[in-house]
Parts: sequence; structure tokens; C-alpha cells
Amino acid sequence: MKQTLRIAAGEWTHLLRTRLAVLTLGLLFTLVAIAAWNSAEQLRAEAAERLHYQQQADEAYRAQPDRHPHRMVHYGHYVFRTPTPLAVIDPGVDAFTGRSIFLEGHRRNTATFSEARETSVLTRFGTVSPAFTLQVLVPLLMILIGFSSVARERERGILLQLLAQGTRGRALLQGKALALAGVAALALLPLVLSALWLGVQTPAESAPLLVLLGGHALYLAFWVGVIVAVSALASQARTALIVLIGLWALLTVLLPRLATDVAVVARPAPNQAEIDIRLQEELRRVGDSHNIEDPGFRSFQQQVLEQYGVASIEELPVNYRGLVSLQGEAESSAVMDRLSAEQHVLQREQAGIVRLFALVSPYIAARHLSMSSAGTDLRNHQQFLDAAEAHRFALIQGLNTLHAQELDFADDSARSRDPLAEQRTRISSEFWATLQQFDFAGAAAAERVRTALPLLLALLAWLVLSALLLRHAAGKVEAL
Amino acid sequence: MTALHSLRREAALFVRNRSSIAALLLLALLAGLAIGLGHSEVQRQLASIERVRALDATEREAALASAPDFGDAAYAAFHLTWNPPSDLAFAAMGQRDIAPWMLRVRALALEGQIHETDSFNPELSLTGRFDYAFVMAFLLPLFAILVMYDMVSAEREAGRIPLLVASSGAVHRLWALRALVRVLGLLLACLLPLWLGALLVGTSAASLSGASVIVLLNVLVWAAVILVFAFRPWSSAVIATSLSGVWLATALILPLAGKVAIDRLEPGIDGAQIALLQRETVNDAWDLPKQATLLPFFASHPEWADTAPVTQPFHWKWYYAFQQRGDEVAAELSQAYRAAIARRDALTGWVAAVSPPVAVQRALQSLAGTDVQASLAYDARIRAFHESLRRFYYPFLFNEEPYRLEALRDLPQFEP
Repeated sequence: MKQTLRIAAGEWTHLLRTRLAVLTLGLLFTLVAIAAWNSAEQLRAEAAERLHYQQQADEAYRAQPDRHPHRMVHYGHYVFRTPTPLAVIDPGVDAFTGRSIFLEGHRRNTATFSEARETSVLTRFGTVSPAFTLQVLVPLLMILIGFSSVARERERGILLQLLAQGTRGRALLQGKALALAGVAALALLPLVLSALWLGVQTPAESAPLLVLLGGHALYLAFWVGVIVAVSALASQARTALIVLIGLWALLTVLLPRLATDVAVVARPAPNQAEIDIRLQEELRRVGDSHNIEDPGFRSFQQQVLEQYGVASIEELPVNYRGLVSLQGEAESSAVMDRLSAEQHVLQREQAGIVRLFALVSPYIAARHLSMSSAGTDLRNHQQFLDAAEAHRFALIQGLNTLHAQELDFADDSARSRDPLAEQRTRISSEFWATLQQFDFAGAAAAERVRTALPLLLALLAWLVLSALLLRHAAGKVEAL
Repeated sequence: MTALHSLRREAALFVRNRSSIAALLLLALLAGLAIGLGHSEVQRQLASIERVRALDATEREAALASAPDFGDAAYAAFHLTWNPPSDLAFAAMGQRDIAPWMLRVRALALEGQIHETDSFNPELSLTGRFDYAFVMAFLLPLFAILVMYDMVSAEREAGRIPLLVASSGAVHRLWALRALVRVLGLLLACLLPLWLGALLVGTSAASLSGASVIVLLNVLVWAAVILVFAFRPWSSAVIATSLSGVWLATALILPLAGKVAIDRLEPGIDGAQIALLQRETVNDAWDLPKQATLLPFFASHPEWADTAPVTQPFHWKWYYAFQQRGDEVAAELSQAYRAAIARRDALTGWVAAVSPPVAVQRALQSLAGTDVQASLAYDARIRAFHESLRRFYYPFLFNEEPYRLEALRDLPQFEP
């Protein structure tokens, strides 16, 4: 133990004396700190902006004048996605998903206006976030700092000297690893600080924060072991560097892209245009609920007449046109929900294939653990879409219920031709004030932790692998 | 000893260096894989466009056949627009996994339709595709560093420099030849897969030579950077570390710094504003006197000003007039939105000036028609088509012609 500490201290002294190493260390710390700061500031601005838009949309809705309720169905409403608290650490897919959805009758719209489309090609190079720096940049900088830790001693002939003086090979590598782990800890420090800050502000996020921190710690520990082991196994420092850079490029740059292509080839997804056409076909079978004579609603009419025990729709105590709107929306929503659920399942299968690559790349394990626990993954986006849809359905059916209960059937039927009847079909604007607030808090902390756990195990397995490699390297060094 | 002879000797020496040859083969293999994957993606997109075009035509016929009047027909009939992949798209997919390349529009207010996104899987977009442009931008520099960084220092460390000076006389010529052999090796590894792919697709000579020049420049720029370091009197390890740092700075740190700077310089316009404005205008019309919509509409479309006045609470001519008013009111904001995107793209050009990976991606995507400019151009084509579509319907709507299905045979056709 003493030996290990002495070697670690020696390595740190060496690092601080080397200009290149100090430069790299400074760069590493600056990068993580800037990423944390930039991401926090951007998110604050974004959250404020979306909140502002949401309030603006809510006010606009409530301020609508007296109207026919079906006008409000087409006027619709906008909802905006506010970022989840942990998006500060990992914005995940946020830049690639639409930020607002228009909710209206008869249609389930997609989220529009994604950041990626509005910004340049640079978005594709990565995100300025603590997660990206820790997962991609920090391992590379650790390689630059640590590749020569053992190889250097070997090249200068110091390695044999040390062994001859009684330093155990194992203690030597442990010491070097400890020194490099110090570098990793330095890189993790900004994350730990922001996690503490977030944990105090939103205690409910403590568990996912812990998983997030633990995952990144395991991931960086994996790199510590691999870097020192390769440095000890390589005959020359430059060989160690080349092998490590190659490994880094393979795990963090190449395999993720390959995983994407494998997912697309294995589970090709239809385009929105194709889905829309299929939907339109099915909806034609449901019928047009604007037209009460539409054949799609013939049996419904029969059913309503029997239910109320009357002979014609004119005798109904409620407005039959409103009933058809209710029924039409329910039927078309069922079709839309089915098609979009299919689409969601398909996309989750694609994402599942990418997640499987966690078995060949610890970077993929860390990235998905991070997104899942931060609540910025595909699953969360789908939950946002589903929550918006539930909100839409409730809003529209509320309006359709007003349509059925507050309006006179005869007026409603004559409103396109008769200006007076049209006036009478306008109901009080007070109804619009009952608009429900759209709250989407994201997936529950426990659910996010559950999604991230298998990946935490994968990272643990990667760490064990790296420790075994380190032990193997220690054996080789001792056999010198 | 002729120059050609020395070149052949250096080439023979290089070929015997197994790790360098393995690196070049791996590079060629990755480039080939990227070309193959890009090619299959392009085929998938083409097939998808064909399939959807057929579905779209059938669906439109059904919609038109069941429409009672021209207003309903224009309301119900969607028209597919599409942006087919170019003959070089297989090499650079660019924006095609975040920006739609198929969009259905109808004669209603366009601002409510044109911002629709496709159902891309965001977890896949986040990573991006394994395409040739990616291999050139990110992997090529690493391979170039691998085969060239110790060209000089390895000889020095092995103590062979005096020998080389003695045997060749002009040692500069020797280094030049060695560098040339390596550059040629890298070029072959990059260009052969590209040319094979182009042959398979039938890429035009202009696109192919353009792409080849980009690849050539990319290899030359990196070779120059590497040589600057390779000739320093440093150890191989220090040279390799410095070059890795250069790669890290140009491939990751500068692009990210550039993104932060561009976000600050050009904050852009939140698209939600356009959508909100357009929707308010369209919906307000229902509660305003008909003239409040029709007068401004006739100002921009005087040819319909003298048609019969609207007397009923609902009339299609008024309906389509306020749809158009929605677009007109939002036009300025929408224009500014696109201008901001174009300005951001222009600013990215400055980042490309200091980062070869950004430059390569931009150049290849621009040539392949998959960049921001290309998606703005597609946007403009959709706008032009939409304009022709609504203008096609106006005579029928404003002259209140009775519905004739045959009249719709001359509906404008979208030309990509």
C-alpha cells in the first residue's frame, strides 16, 4: 500500500513537471468546467423561453372570444417541452427532437422545430455538455496523459531498476493507476459539484444522479485500468499511444456509428409521409365527423336513437352533431394511437439494438446510462409525445362535449347559411378559461433508474475486464 | 538513380512495413463499408420515395373522387413533395437523417404544414450515420498520423540517420519520396472505395471529380500538418501525443467551441413564433368581418377582387383567402427564420476554415446536396409548388364553378 502511494505520488510529481501533461490537465479541467457552465446557462435560458411560450399560448387560448366549440377544436393549443432538470448534465436527444406540438382536433401532430435542423452541421460533432466531455473527450485526454506512465520507465531502463530494488509489479501498476485515477477524479469534480447542487435543489432526482455519477466513475475507471495496462504491456511508449488511440476511436467514434447503421438496416422504419397515408386510409373508414350523414356513423346513429329511445336525431335532448364529433374523435384517436404506438415500438427496438452494443463498447453503455437516468433519451421523448396526446384528447373531447350539450341541433345545422343561427352557436368565452395546465414532468426517477441499471451492470463488467487486464499486465511486468 | 527508380524502392520498403499496410487496408475497408452502407441507405430512400409516390397518387384520387366541391377537394387532397438523394448522397448523408426529404402539402396555409418533421429516431440522429464523409473527416486523420508520424523520428531513434545520409546523398529527396509514398497509399485507400461506389451508382463525372479533389485536399492538408511535427527533433512519443492533440482540437474542440460561439452570435428565431402567428391570423378570421380578410387578400391578389361578394357565414373563397392571409402575415418572420439558419450556416464556414474535419464534411455534403443549403432549397421548392397549387384552385373557388373531376387532371405536378 505504501509502495502504491509512493509510486502514485511520484507519477503526479512527474506529470506536474511535464509541460505537455500540465497543458493537457488544464485543458481537461477547463473543458469540463466550461461544458458544465455553458450547458447550465443554455438550459436556464431555454426553460425560461419555453415557459414564456407556454404561458403565451395558454393566455391566447383563454382569451378567445365567444365561439362555436368546434372552432376551438380547430384553433387548438400549443404545448412546449421544458427540459428535465438533469438535462444540464446530459441533454441527450433534446437537440434532435421537436420542442413544441400543435394540438388540434382530428390530428395527432408531430413535435416540430428541432434545434438540430436550425443549427449548422456542428451539432453533429457533439454537444457541449458535461456528459459528452466526460464520455468522449476525457478518456482521450487521459490517454494522452497516461499512455507513457509505465512504458516510459521501461524505455529508460528504470523499470528493471525499480523491480530490482524490490518494487512489486502489482504495486507499480496500482500506483500508476491511482495517479491516473486522480486525473479522472479531477475531471469528475465539476460533475460531482453540479450533482450536489442539483441534488439539493431537487431531492427527488438524487437516485438517478447517483446512478449518473456512479456510471461515469465506473466508465472512467475502466479507462484508467486499460491505459495503465496497455502502457505496461507495450514495448514502446509510442506503441502504447497508438494502440490506445485506436481503441478509443473504435469504442467511442466508430462503433456507435456502426450501431446506428445496424439498427437502421435491421429495423427499417417507414417515413412519416407513408404513415400519414396509411392513417388517412384508415380514417376514411372511420368517416368524416363533420358530416353527420357520413356512412361511417350510420350504426352509431342507430345506437344513439335506441339509447335515448327517440325516433329521430331532431328529438334528441342533446346536439347530435356534437355526439358525432365525440364519437369520431374517439374512433380516429384509437387509430392514431395504434399507428403511433407501432412507430414507438419500432423506434425503441432500433434504440434497443444500439443499446446492445454496450456489450462491445463501454462508451455506448455510459452514454445510454447517462441519457436514461437524466431522462433525455428516446423513451422520455415518446412519453412527452404520449402525454401531449393525452392532453390533446382530453381538451378536444371537452370541447366536443360542450358541442353536444350547449348547442341547439337546429341552429348548429343551419349555421353555415344563417347568420343568426351562427350567432346562437357561439358559446361563452368563459368555457375557454377552464383550460387545463399541461404538466409533463418526465419519467419518474425510479423508472429511469430501472432503465439505467442493466447498463450500470454492463459498465461494472467492463471495469472487471479492465482490472483483469491490469492484473495480467502486472504479472507480465513481474516476470521481467 | 532515376526518380522513378527511387520511388519504387521506397514503395517496396513501405510495403514491407506490415503495420502500415494493415492500417491502410483497414482504412480502405472502413471507407468501403461506409460506401456500402451509404449506398444501401440511398436505395432504401429511393424505394421509399417510389412507394410513397404511388400511395400518394392513389390516396389523392380517392380524396378528389369523393369531394363534393372544389373547396373540399383542395382541403382533402394532399400532394407529395420529395427531395431525392443525389448521385453522391451515398458518400455524405448530411442532413438527411434530421431534415425531411418527403413532405405532403395541401392548399391550406403553408406555414402550418412546412415545419412538420419526419419521424426520425432521435437516438439514431444523435450519433449520425457511418458514411464516407465521416470516415474522411474523423478517421482518415488518425490513419494518416499512424502511417506518417514516426517517418523521421523512428530512423533517428534507430540511429540510422547517418547511414541514410551516406547512402542517398540528398536526404531531403529521400524524405520527400517517403512522404509521397505514404500520401499515395492513403489516397488509394480513400479513393478506390469511393470510385467503386460511384461506378456502382453511376455518379456523374463532375460530382466524382469534385469529391476526389476534396479527398485529395484533405489528405494533403493532414500530410502537411503531420510532416511539420514529424520533422521536429522530438521523440516519436511526443510527436504522436502532439498530433493526437491537434486532431482532438480540430475534430472535436474547435467545432464545439464554434457551436457555442455561433449560438451566441446568431441566436436564431424560435420557429414556434411563426406557427403561433400564422395560427392566430387564420383563426382570428372566423370572428372578424369577412372584409377584414378579403380586402387585404384582394390587395395581393387583385385579379379576384371583382368576383361575387361573400354573403354567407361560410364560403370557401373566404376560407382560402384567410389561409393565404395567415401565410402573408407570417411571411416576414418565416423569412427571417430561414435567413437566420442560412447565416448560421455561413458562420460555420469560418469554423471550417480552421477545422479540416468540418471543412470536409461541409464540402462533401454541399457537393452531395445534403447540407443546410440543400434543405433550404427543398423548402423553397415546396413553397413554389404550394403557390402553384393554390393559384390553380383560385379560378374554381372564386368563380364558384360547379365541381368537375376532369378539371383536376391539370393539377400542378411537383418536380423535384
